[in-house]
Amino acid sequence: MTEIDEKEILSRLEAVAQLKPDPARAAARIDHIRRTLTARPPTDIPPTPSIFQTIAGSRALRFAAAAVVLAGVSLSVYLTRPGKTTPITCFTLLSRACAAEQAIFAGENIVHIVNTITVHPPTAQSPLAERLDQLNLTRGQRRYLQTVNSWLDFNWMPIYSLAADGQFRFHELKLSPGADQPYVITDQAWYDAPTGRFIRLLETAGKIIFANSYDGRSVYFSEPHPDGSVHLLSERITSDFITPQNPARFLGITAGLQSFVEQDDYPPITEVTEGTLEDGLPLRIYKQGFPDLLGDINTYWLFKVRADNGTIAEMEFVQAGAPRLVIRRQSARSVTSAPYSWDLADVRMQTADANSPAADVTPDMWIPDVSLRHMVETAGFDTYIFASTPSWLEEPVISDMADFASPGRRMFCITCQANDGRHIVMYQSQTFNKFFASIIKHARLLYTSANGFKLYGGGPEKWWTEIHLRAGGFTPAEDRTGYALQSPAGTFPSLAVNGRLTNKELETLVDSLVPAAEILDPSPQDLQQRIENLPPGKWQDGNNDPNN
Amino acid sequence: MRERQKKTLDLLQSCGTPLYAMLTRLTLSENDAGDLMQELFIRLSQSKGLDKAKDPIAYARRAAVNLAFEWRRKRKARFEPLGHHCMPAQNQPSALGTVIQKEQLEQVLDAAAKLKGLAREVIVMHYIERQSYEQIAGRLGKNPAHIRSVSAKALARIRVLLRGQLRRQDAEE
Repeated sequence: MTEIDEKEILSRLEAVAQLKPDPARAAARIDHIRRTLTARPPTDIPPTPSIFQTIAGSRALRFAAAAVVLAGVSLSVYLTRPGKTTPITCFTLLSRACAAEQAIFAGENIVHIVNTITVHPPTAQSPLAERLDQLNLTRGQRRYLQTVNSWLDFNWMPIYSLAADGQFRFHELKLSPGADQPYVITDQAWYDAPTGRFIRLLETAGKIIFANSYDGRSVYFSEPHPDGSVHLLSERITSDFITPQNPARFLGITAGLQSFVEQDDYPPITEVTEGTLEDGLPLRIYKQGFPDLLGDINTYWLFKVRADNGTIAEMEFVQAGAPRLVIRRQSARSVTSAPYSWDLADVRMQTADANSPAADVTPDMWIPDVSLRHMVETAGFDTYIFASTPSWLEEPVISDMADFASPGRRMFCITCQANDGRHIVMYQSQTFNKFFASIIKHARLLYTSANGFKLYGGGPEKWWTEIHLRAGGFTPAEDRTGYALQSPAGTFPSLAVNGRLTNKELETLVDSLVPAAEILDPSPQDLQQRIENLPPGKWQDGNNDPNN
Repeated sequence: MRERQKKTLDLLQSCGTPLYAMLTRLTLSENDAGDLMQELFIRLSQSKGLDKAKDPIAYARRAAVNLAFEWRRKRKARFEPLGHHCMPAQNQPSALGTVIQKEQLEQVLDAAAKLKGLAREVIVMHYIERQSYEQIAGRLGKNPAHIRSVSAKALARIRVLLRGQLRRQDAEE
């Protein structure tokens, strides 16, 4: 049949025009998209991605990368590569698997989910080490490449818990990379769809390392104690509490991981194959690789999707040809009751004298929109804030995140959205304080403010400002600029600007910086008065044109 | 940017259902339509073009059509039966009939994906969205006679493309 006439074409087009999607399914999908859009921070189109986008595919991971990124300011030559457009197929894959998983949570009975996370020890010799041997690197350069590349190790995973106000809290499940034998973390959840009650328990070596539940009146959650034990706390739900609308995203196998890939610039799926699980279950296997800093793909995820129902049966993280992490769905079945009460009263938490488990949970990897008081009381070093913001900037928003390069410490990101796109992001952390102290001598002093701040410029600002702006939720502009600040207390906040500021604008910003502790008590009028009474600062020679 | 997010959510509210229907028709799969719909709105929420668009609905519609045909061009050949939720309105007495019809519809849509901008736009608007030539001309700022001519040439081009495709299939058999 090699002939086809116009009538046949019209008939086929007519058949296409007559196709009608199922209204209920369409409504559910649209509702899902609406919730996805609402949950996503608003961002602009990502420009050409750089290697750092690959490393820091998620907001959380970007924060992690931001903690160490400045350690290699002088090495930016190694860290760029030609850009390419990356589709969001991994996001689509996990969203689709998550949507398929929703059916599991929709029954009338309690659903019991069991996943296992098997952590394998690292391979003795990574291909990266061999590649680094072939390059003529200084010790510092080599250490930096190894450090940044270690973010591909996935020796931690994000997990959510539900807070009393119905919002998610973001935690870090630390997977001990030093173990010489594989170990298993059992992740169990019970969910009662009609009431929204749930229990989630993570257990390893016979010890519960994470717990979260909701009994209809309160939420219950585990908190690590400084002595190493894990305590169970509870909090009565607030008036605006609602249970998660999508339990699969919260309790499903992709929970946590999905947040990694919600940016368009996450590396794409590079290979799709057919396969089977050990029990013969037919699968479609999606491979998603991460180029390392030298452009090689030795690290990748294998997402194994069941052919029968589209849910993920297993996710395997492979490094240097060997599995490092295997997350497997062991069972998902309907049960008549949970073995524990919803308030976890009968769950035995880990005690201080227990053997250390191979994994533990660090709470609150990232806390969005915290108060000034929270920053002051948590930082452990002097923090600063803009006492007043010029008319073109919105009020500062503070985020608190784990300072990965300084274990146990917190990092604070202050973002000010600008009406004209010249957004401001200021980071303050123990890691940056240490790092800038060592490199400031190579920078150029631009301005000294009467409030004791010194403003430094120079260096590969395009590089680190890209990281900071992205971590702050902004799309970096081509003409972005970056500065290092030295505070009167000897700390080193970094200042990334998504555009160019005039000297006058910079001066206003720097002059308005005050110790955050001081702003907690005096009135805003007092502060404004104090700033206005400051004597003028001093620009270094050649930088004193206010409109420059 | 928050304003754009709000605009995107408003768009989803006002024209989400027709866009989903159109994507279903152009992909012949509700699953793929759902994925593309999500991709479309995420792209829109990040698109500066939406800020500048005089008619955001037309902008979203055009983006959806481009996305669907881009998907159609990039995807690998595959065999996938129609989902039971996405059956043609006309009666299909057998599963084989459904499969055969799906293949035929795929052929014509794949051919349409190879058309250039205006020709493809007119085919979608006239034959799939069932707009009159006058309506299309009004929306695109063209003369109705010109649109009619573009449509006729586009159909002829689809016919040529299908003929070539069928000859290749015959040769393979």
